[in-house]
Amino acid sequence: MSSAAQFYLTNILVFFGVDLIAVWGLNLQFGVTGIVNFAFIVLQSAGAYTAALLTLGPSSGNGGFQHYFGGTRLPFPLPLIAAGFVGAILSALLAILTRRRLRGDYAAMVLLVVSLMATTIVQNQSGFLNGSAGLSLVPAPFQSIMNLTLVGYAWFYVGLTAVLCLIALAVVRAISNSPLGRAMRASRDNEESAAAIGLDVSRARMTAYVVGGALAGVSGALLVQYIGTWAPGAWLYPETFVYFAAVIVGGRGNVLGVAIGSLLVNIAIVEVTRYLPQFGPAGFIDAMQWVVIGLLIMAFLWLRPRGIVPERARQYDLARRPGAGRAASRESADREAEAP
Amino acid sequence: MTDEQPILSVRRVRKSFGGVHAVEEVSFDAAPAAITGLIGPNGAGKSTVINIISGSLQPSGGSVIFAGHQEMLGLPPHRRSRLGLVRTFQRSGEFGGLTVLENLLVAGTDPKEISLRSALIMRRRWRRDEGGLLDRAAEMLAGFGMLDKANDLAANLSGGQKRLLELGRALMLTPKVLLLDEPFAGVSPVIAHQIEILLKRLAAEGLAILLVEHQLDVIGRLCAQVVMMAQGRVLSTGTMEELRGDPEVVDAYLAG
Amino acid sequence: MSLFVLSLGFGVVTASVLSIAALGFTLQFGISNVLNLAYSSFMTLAGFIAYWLNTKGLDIWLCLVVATAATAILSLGLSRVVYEPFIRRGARSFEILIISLAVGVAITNLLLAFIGPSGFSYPGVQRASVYHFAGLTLSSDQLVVVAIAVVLMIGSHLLLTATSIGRALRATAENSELARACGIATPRITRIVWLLSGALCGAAGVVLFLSISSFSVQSGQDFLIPIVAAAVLGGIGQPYGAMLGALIIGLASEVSAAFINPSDKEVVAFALLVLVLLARPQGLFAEAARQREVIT
Repeated sequence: MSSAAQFYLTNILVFFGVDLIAVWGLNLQFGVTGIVNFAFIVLQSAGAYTAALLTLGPSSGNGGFQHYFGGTRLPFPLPLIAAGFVGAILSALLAILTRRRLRGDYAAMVLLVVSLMATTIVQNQSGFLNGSAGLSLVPAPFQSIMNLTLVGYAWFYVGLTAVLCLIALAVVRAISNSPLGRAMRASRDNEESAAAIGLDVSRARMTAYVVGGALAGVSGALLVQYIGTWAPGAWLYPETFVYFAAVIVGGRGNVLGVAIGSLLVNIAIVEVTRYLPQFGPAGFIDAMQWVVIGLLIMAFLWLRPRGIVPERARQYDLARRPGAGRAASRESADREAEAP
Repeated sequence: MTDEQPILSVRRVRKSFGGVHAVEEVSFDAAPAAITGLIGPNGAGKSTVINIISGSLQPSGGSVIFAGHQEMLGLPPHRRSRLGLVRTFQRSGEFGGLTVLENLLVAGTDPKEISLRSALIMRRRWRRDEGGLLDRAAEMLAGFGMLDKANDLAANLSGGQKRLLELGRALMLTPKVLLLDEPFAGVSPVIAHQIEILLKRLAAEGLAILLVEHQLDVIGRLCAQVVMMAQGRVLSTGTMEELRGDPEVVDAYLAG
Repeated sequence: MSLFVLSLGFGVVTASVLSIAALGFTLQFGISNVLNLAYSSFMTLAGFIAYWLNTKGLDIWLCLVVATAATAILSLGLSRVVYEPFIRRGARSFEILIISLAVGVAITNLLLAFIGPSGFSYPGVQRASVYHFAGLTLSSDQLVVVAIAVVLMIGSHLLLTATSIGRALRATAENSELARACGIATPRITRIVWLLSGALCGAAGVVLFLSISSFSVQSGQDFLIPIVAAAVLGGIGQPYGAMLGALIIGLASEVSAAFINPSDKEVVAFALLVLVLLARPQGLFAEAARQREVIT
C-alpha cells in the first residue's frame, strides 16, 4: 500500500477511534441516562486543550507566537489522564448548573448556551488559549524518542487509539450491565418513579455526567496529540450535534449501535462528501453536510427513533434457576385458589 | 382496632399555592397491620397529602412522623422510600425500556451496589447477590401470574398488568408503609380482585397501608379505618359504616 | 458619566431588538410547550429576505413588512409540518428540542451554502442622519428600531389584555398544564400565536440586522444567548417577563460592555443567565404554580 494510502487509512482509523470513545461517553449520558448534554463538545475540547497545555511547555517557547496560560511538559500518559479528569470535573459543573431539577429540554437549552459561551469566551480572550487561532505544534507522544517513519508512527498511534478504545468499551459495558446501569435507565424512563423506589437520581445522573465527561476529555486529548492543533473552529456547538446524530441514528443506549452510528455519521458522511465533485460556491458542500445531518436526525426520529441497532433489554433465563419450579408451581396454585 | 403505636402520623399538615389553601390542618394516623382509607371528592386534597407524605411536595407547615419518631420533612423521596415509606402512582410509572423483571430488580437492589465502584471494581458482589434477587422477583411475578411476561418490555404490558407491576415494585423494597394512590382505577375486575386479596394478605402480615380510592365498596371491604377529606380538611374519621351515617360526610361526598 | 449615558442609548436599542425577539420566543413556548431553537435561524432568514428585496430596490421598511409576513407564515409552517406531528406522536420534550436544533442547523447551513459567510449591509439604508439629545447619540434608523419595538410591545399588551387570544396566552402563562388540560390552546389559537410570534421573529431579524453595521449568516445565532437569557430571566412563557428580561439584559450588557471589553457583551448576558438559573430558575415572573413547568 502506498504511503499516501496508509496515511489516509491511519487518519480514518484514529478519527474513528476518537469518535468511538466520545460517542460511548455521550451514549452513557444521553442514551442510557437521558441527559441531553448539548455542551458535550466543550468537554472533548477541554480535554484537548488540557493535553495541549500539558505538552506544549510554557508559552514563551516555540518563539512565543502562541499566548496561553500555564504550559508544561509532562510525559505520556499524564496529559491523557489529566484530560480525563478535566473533562470529568467540567462535566460535574454542568451537572450542578442543571441540577435544580430543570426539566429535560430546558436544561438542554441552557447547556447549548454554555457551549456557545465557551467558544465566545475562548475566542475573545486571546491570552487564555490563544483565542481564535488556537494552539498548534502540540507534540505527539513518544515521537521524538521512537525511530519510526511518519507512516510507522501513524500506525503506532492507531494501536494506541485501539487500546484506549478497548478500555473505554470495557468501562461503558461494565457500567451499562451493572445495577448502576439499570438505575440510570430507570431514571431516564421515569424520574419520579425512580425516586419512589429509592433510587438517588441525582447521583446516577452525576455519575453519567462525570464518566461521560472523562471519556470526552480523553478523546479530545487523543485527537489533539495526533493532529497537533486545536482551535475554536473545531469545537463549535454543532459538533455536539454530529455526535447526537451518531447516537440517534445508530441506536441510543446500545454500545454497538452508537458505534455503527458513529461510523455512518462521523466517518462515512465526511468521507463520501470528500469525493464528490466540488460544485457550487466555496464551502457549499461543507454546509450541505450539516443540512444532511439535520435531515437525517429528523428522519430517524420520525421513522426509527430507536435507531439502527436498538437497545436490547437484558433477558434472564428463569427456567434454569433453582427456585423456578417452586415459583411456577406457586403460580398455578394461586390460579387454582382464585378460581370461583 | 389495634392499640399499637401508629407507624405513620400526619400532624397538622398544610399546603398553600400562592393564596390557594390546598390542604389545611390535616392530621391522621395509619396503624401497622391495617389498611387505612383516604377518601373524598375530587379536589379534596388527597393527592396533595400523599405527595407531601411521600416527599414530592413540600408542605407549608406541619409534620410527617414515621415509625413513631422519625420526622420525614427534609428528606427527599428516595430516602423516604429506602426507610420503608413507599408510594405508588395513579398513572403507572413503569420503566418502559426495561423488562418486567428488571423493573423489579432495580427496586430490590441494595443501594450500596448502585454505584460506580460497584460497577467497575466490585462486580463479583452484585453478581452474587443478583441470584437471590432474581428468585424474589420471580416469586413475586408468579404470585401475580405474570411469570411468562418476565422478559417482556414493561411498556408492552396491559394497563392492569402495569398496575400489578407497580405494586410489585413497591413491595420489592419491603416497605413498612405503603401509600397507594387509586390502585383500582381502570383495572379489570379480575385484577382488582387479585389486588384486594394481595392487600389483605399484606396487612395481615404487618404492613400499614394508606389507600386513596374512589370506589367506596372496596374501601368498605378493606379498610378498618377511613379518613374523609373535603376541601383540604379532614371532615371525619371512622369506619365506613360510621361515615355513611354521618350527615356531614354524606352531604359532602356520598350523596350524588 | 457621558459614557454611561451613551451606553444607555445603545442599551435601549439592544433592548428593543431583544424585546421583540424574546417575546416571540417565549410565546411559542407558552402556547406549544416547545423551546424553538430554530428561532434565531428564522431571524437570520428574515434578515436576508429583507436584504434580497432591498437589493431589488424595495424600500427598507417595506422589506421589513414583507420579511415579517413571510417569517410568520414560515413559522406557522414549521409548527404544523414539523412540531405538531411529532407532538401528536408523543415525542418527548427533549426529542422536540433536538428536532428544533436540527431545523435551525439545517436552515443556517442552507443559507450558508447559498449565501456564503461574508458580511453584508442593507444597500438601501443610509446612516446619515444622527440625533444627539440628552447625551445620547442615535441614528435615525436606531430611533425607528426603538419606535417599532415600543409599538409592538404596546400592541402585544393590547392583544394580551383585550382579546380572547390574549386571554389564552395569559392563562397558559399562569398555569400552562391546567390551561392546556382545559383545552385553551385550541388549534385556531395555536395557529394564530405561531403567526404572531413568527412575525415578531421576522421583525426582530430585520431590525437586528439594521442595528448592527454588518451582518452575516451567523448573526442571528450570535443573538440566541441574549434571547434565551431574556426569556429565562423573565420566566419562560411569561410575555411581560420577556419584555422586562429584554430590558434588563439589553441595558446591562451594553452598559457593562462600555466599561469592560466590548466583546464581552454576551458574557454579561450569559453571567446573568447563570445567576438566574442558580438562584431562581423559574424566572422573575413565574408564580408558584408555574414552578412545575420547568422545574420537575
